[in-house]
Amino acid sequence: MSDAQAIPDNLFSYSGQTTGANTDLAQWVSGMLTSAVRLYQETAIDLGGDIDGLTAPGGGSIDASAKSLLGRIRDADKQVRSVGQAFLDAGDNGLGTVRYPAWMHNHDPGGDLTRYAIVTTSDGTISGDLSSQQGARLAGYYRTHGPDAYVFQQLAQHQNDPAYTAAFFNGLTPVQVNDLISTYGDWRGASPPSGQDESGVLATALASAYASGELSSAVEKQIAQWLALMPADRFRPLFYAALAKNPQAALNFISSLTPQQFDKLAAGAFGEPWQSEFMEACTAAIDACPDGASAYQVFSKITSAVTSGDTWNPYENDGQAIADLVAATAAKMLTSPPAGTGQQQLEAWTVTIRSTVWKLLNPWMKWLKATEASNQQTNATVQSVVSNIVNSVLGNIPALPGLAPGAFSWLMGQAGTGLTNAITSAITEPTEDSAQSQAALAGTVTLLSERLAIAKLLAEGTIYPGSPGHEGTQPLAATPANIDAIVNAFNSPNPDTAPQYSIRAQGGDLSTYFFLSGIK
Amino acid sequence: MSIAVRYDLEAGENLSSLLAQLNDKVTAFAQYRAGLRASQLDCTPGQWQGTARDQFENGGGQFGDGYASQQRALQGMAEEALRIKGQVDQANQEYLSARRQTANVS
Repeated sequence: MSDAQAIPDNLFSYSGQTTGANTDLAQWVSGMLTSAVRLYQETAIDLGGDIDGLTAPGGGSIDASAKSLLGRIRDADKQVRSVGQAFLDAGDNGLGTVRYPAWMHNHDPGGDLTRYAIVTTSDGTISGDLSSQQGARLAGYYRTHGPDAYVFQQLAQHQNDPAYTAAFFNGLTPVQVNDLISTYGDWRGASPPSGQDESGVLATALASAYASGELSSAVEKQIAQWLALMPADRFRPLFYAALAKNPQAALNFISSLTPQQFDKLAAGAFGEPWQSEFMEACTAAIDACPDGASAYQVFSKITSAVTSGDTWNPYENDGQAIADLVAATAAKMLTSPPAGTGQQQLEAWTVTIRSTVWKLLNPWMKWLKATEASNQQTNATVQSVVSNIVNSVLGNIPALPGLAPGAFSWLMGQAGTGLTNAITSAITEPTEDSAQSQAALAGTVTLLSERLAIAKLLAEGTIYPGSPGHEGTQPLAATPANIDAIVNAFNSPNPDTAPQYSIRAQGGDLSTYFFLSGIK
Repeated sequence: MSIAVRYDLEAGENLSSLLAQLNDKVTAFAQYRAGLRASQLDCTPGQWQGTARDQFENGGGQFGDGYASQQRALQGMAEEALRIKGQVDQANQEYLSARRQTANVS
């Protein structure tokens, strides 16, 4: 970002003197000129009645034009003072360099003398500070006038500006924040009072304020309390939707909640679709997490809050919301395959895949089982939800380079079908068969990671047909058929007559990859 | 017979004077603004620089159409005041001529 520099006091001086002269001139126009123009317009009946800019019909008058022009210029010149303040703030807050001009060298710079120094900072610092000043000014207006049309118009204009919106909300008392939400966000009629999307604007503005990371704890506390206490309303889903579009805002929002508030919002209420909307906000927060570990923390928090409750009433959005949550977490946690085919790296990678898939699926499987029993879900509904979750995880496993066209999607498709069937079975079968179904699920996850390992070895061209010492000259291609053939060979009830394979990287037996032993 | 011309000469002359003053005041304001811009914003060292300055000069952000455009508009306003003053003066002269003719007739 480019640099900006100025001497704050010079900008104050320019702004103060030009706006002062402007005001004097504007007052003269309003007082002297306008009354003279009006009198002339009333008396120039037989002469001077068609002067453009004075008496000609529909042409306006010069005094009005002068007032309008001076107003525009005054607004611009007043803004120069705000820029000066932004430079002064940057200098005082260590956000730029401060150099004192030569004439001050005999003085003792310090205290409030920054205003006379040359302040150099980034353009972003200046624009952010300007936004903050403007937002704070709107808060000042709000404190005097309340939530009127001007406040809404300004919020609509700046709804995507984090610094502006944070300064605005920070300038309000908790009671005023409450009034603001109640006025714009919680109307119960068939249409908003103004005919405009006030709730949506407020929701977006509040999300922007959270994204700034500068919202005061007092405001955060008020918002959380409002959301936790209020019954069904129009603002809540719009706010959650705004968070879902703004990952940093979502992460800051959920980080601001106490554990009790988080659980309360996550639990939703029977008959209300908040749960899936809150989960989508958490999904956005996961997108903003810097790494897999922090993503899993958020995942665990929302998963625990939702799955420990008993309020699930499966709206059609829920399956998608869970799938999105799992997918976002998987995208942060699942790592790319290792570069080579060394046994340790390959094994470590498949173990990671296996444990991650299990960690992401297991809590939801248990919960689906419990809610299936209590809510009398049909198998088809459960299967749909499970399928969404499974495909979300598998869709985030990094593709293996070097596979035959379609081989990876075939692999994922096979695994997806197997996992979905195993999980659905574990959920919908009678209780006495649950343990068996869960074992089948664990086996399917293991099978997935092992097939990935075989696909990786095939892709690297290291697997040959034939037993060690008698292998063919060409490595096997990483095709679905070869992956299947190898798995079937290792699973064959007659290993002596089953096809043999060798692995050149190990100099011999494929079975030396002991982590593949589960399919022997 | 007298001809009554509905026109207030005093109002016309007062407006003419004020339009001349408007020309002077607007011109003076534009010059004052230009002088302050030179002394305060373009001082060396410490000239105001950056995106906000660009917007101040050329328009954008909270600066409306920008300094250059505003100065041109002020100049245009001053010229407009003189143009209108000329037409008001003409109307004033026409009134005086009409009044003289009326006096001669009577």
